Amino acid sequence: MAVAGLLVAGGMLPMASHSSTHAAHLSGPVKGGTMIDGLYEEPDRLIPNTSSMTYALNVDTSLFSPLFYTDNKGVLFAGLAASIPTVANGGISKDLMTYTFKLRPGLLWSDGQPLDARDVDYSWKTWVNKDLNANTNVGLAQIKSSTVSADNLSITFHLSSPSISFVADWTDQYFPMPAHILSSMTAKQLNTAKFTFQPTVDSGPFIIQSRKAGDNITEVPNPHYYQPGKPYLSKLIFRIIPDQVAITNALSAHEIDASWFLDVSQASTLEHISGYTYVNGLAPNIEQGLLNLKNPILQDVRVRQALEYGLNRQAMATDVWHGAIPLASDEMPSLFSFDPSIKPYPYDPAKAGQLLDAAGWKMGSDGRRHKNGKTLSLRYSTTARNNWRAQDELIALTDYQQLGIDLRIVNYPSDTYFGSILPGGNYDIGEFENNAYYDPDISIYNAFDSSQVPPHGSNWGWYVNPTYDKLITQEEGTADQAQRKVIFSKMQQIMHDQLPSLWYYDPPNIYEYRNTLHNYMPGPYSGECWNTQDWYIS
Amino acid sequence: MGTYIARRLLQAIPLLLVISIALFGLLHLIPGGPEQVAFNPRMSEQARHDMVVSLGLDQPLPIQYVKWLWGTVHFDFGNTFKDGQPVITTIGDRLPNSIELLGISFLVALLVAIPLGIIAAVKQYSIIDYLFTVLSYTGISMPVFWFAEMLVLFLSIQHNWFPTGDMQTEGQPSSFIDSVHHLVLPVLVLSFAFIASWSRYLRSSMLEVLHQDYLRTARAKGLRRIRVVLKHAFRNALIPLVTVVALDLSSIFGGAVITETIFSWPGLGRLFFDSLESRDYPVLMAMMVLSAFSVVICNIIADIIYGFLDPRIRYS
Repeated sequence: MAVAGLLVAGGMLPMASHSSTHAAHLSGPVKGGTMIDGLYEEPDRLIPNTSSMTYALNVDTSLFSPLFYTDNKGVLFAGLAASIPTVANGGISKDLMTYTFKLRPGLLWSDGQPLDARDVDYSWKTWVNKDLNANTNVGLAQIKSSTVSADNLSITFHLSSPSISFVADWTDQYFPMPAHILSSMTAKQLNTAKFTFQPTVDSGPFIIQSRKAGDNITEVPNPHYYQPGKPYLSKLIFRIIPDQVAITNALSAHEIDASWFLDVSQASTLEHISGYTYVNGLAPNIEQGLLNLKNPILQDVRVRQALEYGLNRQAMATDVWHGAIPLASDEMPSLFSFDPSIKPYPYDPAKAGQLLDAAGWKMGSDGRRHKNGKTLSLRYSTTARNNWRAQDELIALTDYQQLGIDLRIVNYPSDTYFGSILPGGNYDIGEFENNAYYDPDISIYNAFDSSQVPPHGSNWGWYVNPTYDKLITQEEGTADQAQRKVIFSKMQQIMHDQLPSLWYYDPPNIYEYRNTLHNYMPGPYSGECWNTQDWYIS
Repeated sequence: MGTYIARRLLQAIPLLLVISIALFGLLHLIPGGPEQVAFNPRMSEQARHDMVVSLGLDQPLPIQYVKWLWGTVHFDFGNTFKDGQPVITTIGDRLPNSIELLGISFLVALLVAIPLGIIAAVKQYSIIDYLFTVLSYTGISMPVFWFAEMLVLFLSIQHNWFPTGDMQTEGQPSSFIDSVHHLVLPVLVLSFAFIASWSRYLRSSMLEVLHQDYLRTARAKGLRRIRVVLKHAFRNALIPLVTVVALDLSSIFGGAVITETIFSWPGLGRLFFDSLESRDYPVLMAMMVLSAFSVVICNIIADIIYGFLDPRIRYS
């Protein structure tokens, strides 16, 4: 969206048609070598858009090529696509309702079969099939129809409403799947097919050589990768290390070359590992406590505001993250849509108590608040075995206990949490990190548009606000970025006042890599493995 | 003997049935059943319904149990909720890893605990006995995770003698030496706790036997002390140890969660823990029933060994 929007507005973001070099080593890339990447969680499904796990998406990115992708600076590139569609090049209609994606000629799957627009067509139709356990259908739900050109090199999408973010929707996700392999299966069969967990044909820089449950995923170069001469590594191994301390140990013992999404509580050790570079950089992410508005208690905005006022988020930043991170208002500061005039709520437990009193939740002699014979009790959930979130929970538990709220903590493994608990609404406060996409519209639409309430999408808080929906429609149909920013500011104010989610802080991206590993540079939108084809060891 | 084993196995059937009913019931009492944690709410109603039907979750609990039992007696534990793969395959992928880790740990523990227990008993109240006692209580009382972390810190990170985890060096051709190298630390952690406890059991039973009249008689007959200890005392002192070892041995289907997590060992312990967190009932039920079954089998084996150790025990 921003892509198209900026282009329509005159082109403000840098773009390139093809990724060639990023931070190149002085002596140039070296072919060969094995790189071992430590994964904290074991990915589940490995065909595109069938897993909600971040680690699955990371591994996916090394196996499948996107049509469009962003680099570590957030710059947009064409991947399998021959170019980035714009109004100027005819790829986008002026009414923002028709998009044409042109693919590079001569693309091949790893088995040597042609990869073309028919695969793109098959993929989106499969992802919107309700029988498939798909991760998301953002952007796809707007597709009314699609047409593949006679030469099979381009596909035209006709949308049901104007959408400025349609290219961004496809960016860094929605990697085309091999129709010649999968079309013989029904969507239901795909959910449990062996191929889904261990794809044997792909389009990315690597193909899976072996997968050992609970241990590792070993990949070797794809002989038909579309970027000539790449990847540089002769082997890429994802080693499953299900414990953050064990990851730190493996880095300290120089057993692995890199790891991403590291635990801040290990920072004092990670910073001092010789021969490695520790990176703790600001990232366009928000740690939040999503509120389940199906729960009648949380439907009262005064209760939601009390929860925000009554939670010492500064303590989370100071004690858990050592004070180096900003508190969140409700939008990621690095995005153009961010309005700095909207400030985070202050920590004010007295005000929180007053709001709860006003909402009818009176403090009882048992130290708990009650209303109409009911105790103010909430279930707080997040991903299990995550140290910093456990500490956040401890702060929430202490603060809310003092406010008279009975907080019950139930955590789940991340695949269960993101795959079932949040989408199923089986929580009251759900803590997780919301990552930005290339266009701010995507995460906003995904999380808070009423059309995305489950089972249709990822509005896991069941937030329904017609005014907000109308503003989303407006910004989606607006090509001019300045106008969009005004609309986004209004939306940000609604998020701030209505609090469908508790806004915590902007967590940094923490990763570490061996100094002899080059071009390892996780991206803000594209994750850890967006450029595995460029990684090399000197 | 054959009749005895057959009778014990037959007796185990109602026991296993009762255990499986209890486990099945308890598992379904855990808050957040499979409907809450194992299904993607984005699925269509029809797909969801089909999956519920295919998993038999639309049936009343007793019917679900009977269906599960029927499958189990045919070695069909169903499919996992997580990825739809056969449970038997999922467990089968991890079982060899657990057998390797726990089996070698048991072996090492036995080889060390037996001499330690005997020496401590024979040299009662000596410096060696006190030293072994201190070491044993250290082993029993020391948290596994702390001991494991200390070993990793000193032997892996500071001295680089052993890898911090995993079953083999990634990216290298697998070799016997490399596998042994990776086994040292986790085996040390697991066997240390077993050595500590088993050597105490053996010491105590040896002490009891060493004071028996028949040993005094043996010594009075002029037999060498080592022969008296090893042939007459040790054999009779083994019965309590066999009982404890048999019970510990049955834990192989439960894996070793903490050790496997710290050393990134892809065994059954981690599988059980992950399945518990994600309420993957078919995997949990299979693992718990296999554990119960292994307890029964190990106890029968222990009973048979009793007969070899003490000829007075008759299987009638």
